[in-house]
Amino acid sequence: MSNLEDSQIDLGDDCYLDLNGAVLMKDGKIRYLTPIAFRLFVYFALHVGETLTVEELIHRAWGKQGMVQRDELYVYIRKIRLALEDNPNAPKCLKTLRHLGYVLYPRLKETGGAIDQFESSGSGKSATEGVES
Amino acid sequence: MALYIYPDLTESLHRLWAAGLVISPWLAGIDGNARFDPEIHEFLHDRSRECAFIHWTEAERALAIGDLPAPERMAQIAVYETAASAAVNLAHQKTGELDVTEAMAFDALQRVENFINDHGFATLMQLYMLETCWENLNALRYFGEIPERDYVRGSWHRPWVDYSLGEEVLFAYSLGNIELEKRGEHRFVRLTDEGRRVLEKTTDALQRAGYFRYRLETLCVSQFNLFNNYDKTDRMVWPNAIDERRAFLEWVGIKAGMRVLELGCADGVLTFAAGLAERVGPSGAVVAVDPSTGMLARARGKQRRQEIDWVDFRQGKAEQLPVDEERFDIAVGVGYLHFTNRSEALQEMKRVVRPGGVIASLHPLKMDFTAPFFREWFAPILDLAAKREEKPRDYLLHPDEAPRDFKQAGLEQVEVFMSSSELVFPDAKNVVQHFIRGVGWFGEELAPLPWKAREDLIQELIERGQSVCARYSDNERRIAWPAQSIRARVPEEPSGKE
Ligand SMILES: C[S@@+](CC[C@H](N)C(=O)[O-])C[C@H]1O[C@@H](n2cnc3c(N)ncnc32)[C@H](O)[C@@H]1O
Repeated sequence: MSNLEDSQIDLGDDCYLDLNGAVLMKDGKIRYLTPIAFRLFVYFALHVGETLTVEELIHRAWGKQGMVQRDELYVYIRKIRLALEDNPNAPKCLKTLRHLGYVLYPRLKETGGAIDQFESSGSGKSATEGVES
Repeated sequence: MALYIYPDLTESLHRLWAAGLVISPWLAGIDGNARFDPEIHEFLHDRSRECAFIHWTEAERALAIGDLPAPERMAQIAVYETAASAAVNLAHQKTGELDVTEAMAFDALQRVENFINDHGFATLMQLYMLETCWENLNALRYFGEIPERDYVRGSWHRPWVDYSLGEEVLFAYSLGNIELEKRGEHRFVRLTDEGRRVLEKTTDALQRAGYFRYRLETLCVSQFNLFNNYDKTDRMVWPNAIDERRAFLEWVGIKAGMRVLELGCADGVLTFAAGLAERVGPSGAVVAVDPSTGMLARARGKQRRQEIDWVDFRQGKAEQLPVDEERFDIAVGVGYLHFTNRSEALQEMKRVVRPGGVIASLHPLKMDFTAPFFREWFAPILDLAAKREEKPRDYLLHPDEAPRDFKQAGLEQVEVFMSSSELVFPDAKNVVQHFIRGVGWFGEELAPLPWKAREDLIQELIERGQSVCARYSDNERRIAWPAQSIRARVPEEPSGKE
């Protein structure tokens, strides 16, 4: 599903991972990610539409011998959502599947009206800036 | 050293349970998969952090751990683990399933905060340390040593944790309870002599507080929650299940128009398939009680399909009946008495059965384990007991136990009928699912084992079962299981005080 050209991975409407810069490009803006968040993100992007388990993601991001726990993964899922989602508290691209894991879907941009509605509904946290820690 | 472990925490533990809280409980279906969605994790995590920062004051530290160094994150983890455990336990209790909703997470956290306000943060910390300390040290004793990575991730002994146990390693190390050994590239965690002593004392303290018994009960009910195909496997292993239940109802004397209380009704196998509801008929009434929400949901499903409206299913245990004013002609149940605290259960039944009414039970009794196929199949469990030079522990009753308890409860005209049920062992998966994961036979043997050891043992039982089923004929894989029917009357003149 993913579309590799010039070291980019397409993620749907106006959205791709830039592998050279290790950044996410969304709506023409750069969103920075930490190295591990980016590694995880690439793994998701290479498996769009597939269910990925928590264990699998931990192995990918930190290696098989790491001592990392699930709570650490949750932190990075949050980081990716903050960078990627229009509303990180109601994710449409990086979805949780109860008891199964996560799945990434391509971005579908809302029509203008829908976005306005969305933003005025006020979700608490802002989704505008990239995340860097 | 480790003095904080020894104050008697029995009362505190009982208060914890009364508040609907559990710490690191044994619950069916909890394994190495995520306990809940990250959103719920985040909510509990953030709130636990706040809670710990507010309450884990210098004074509380002094109370909880005296002059020991204070592991910073442990307080927050204690709140988190208690709330997370309580949330899963609430899900089990309310829905019979494992899915934690936001409302349940919120409720659980609220209960933790109320407990802290009522009994102090130090009390929660002590209880948390007592229970998790036992869990950690018990696992180390069982396995001898645990690779550090598995220990820190809890994968052998607390696979449900979603945080690192690194701080617990440090703390236990600073107390001298554990040591680390480096071999090649790996490090292993082991018990020290001090750790062994602490484990003994912790075990004693928890034993005295009734902790293991409570845990076993929680596990048992949660197993029944997830036991979806009980009626199917029950008939597979007990071919005469329905006829024998029918004969029992006849013997008890249940008639049309009676008001009957059914105990431990599970998915309604006695109620419907064995004809209890039918006997009583629309002119009578059945109140059927079981602690397992999952079982009750399945029972209510059957009820809807059969359009029987004179049965009322209620959640509750025999020891604490969800019955207020109603009085019954008969209290009856099959295969539940051995799960109860019998003297409490009988007093409760006596309370709600009218003078002159009947209390009756049909239950399996202890059997001997001489059949060669059985010895071979269940050797891993028999061996656990043999190491202690004992018979395997299970909840089944000796023939004289129920009659004695019935008499001690002040019941009259106690009558006993002994029979023998034929049990068959058709195939490995269903047998292990039914007896071990389902009705929890030998739960007393399995419960003290760390999580992975229990899972490995159950897997081994399945594999052995497959080999046994291939080598012994159907005819050889049978056991005559002694069963006991008992009935007695509530005295006409209530003797003594209420
Ligand atoms: C083996 S099943 C027997 C069900 C059914 N009566 C039958 O005839 O097969 C035991 C049931 O007892 C229930 N039980 C466990 N503890 C109990 C208690 N303290 N009081 C009443 N029932 C209990 C369990 O939830 C389970 O549904």
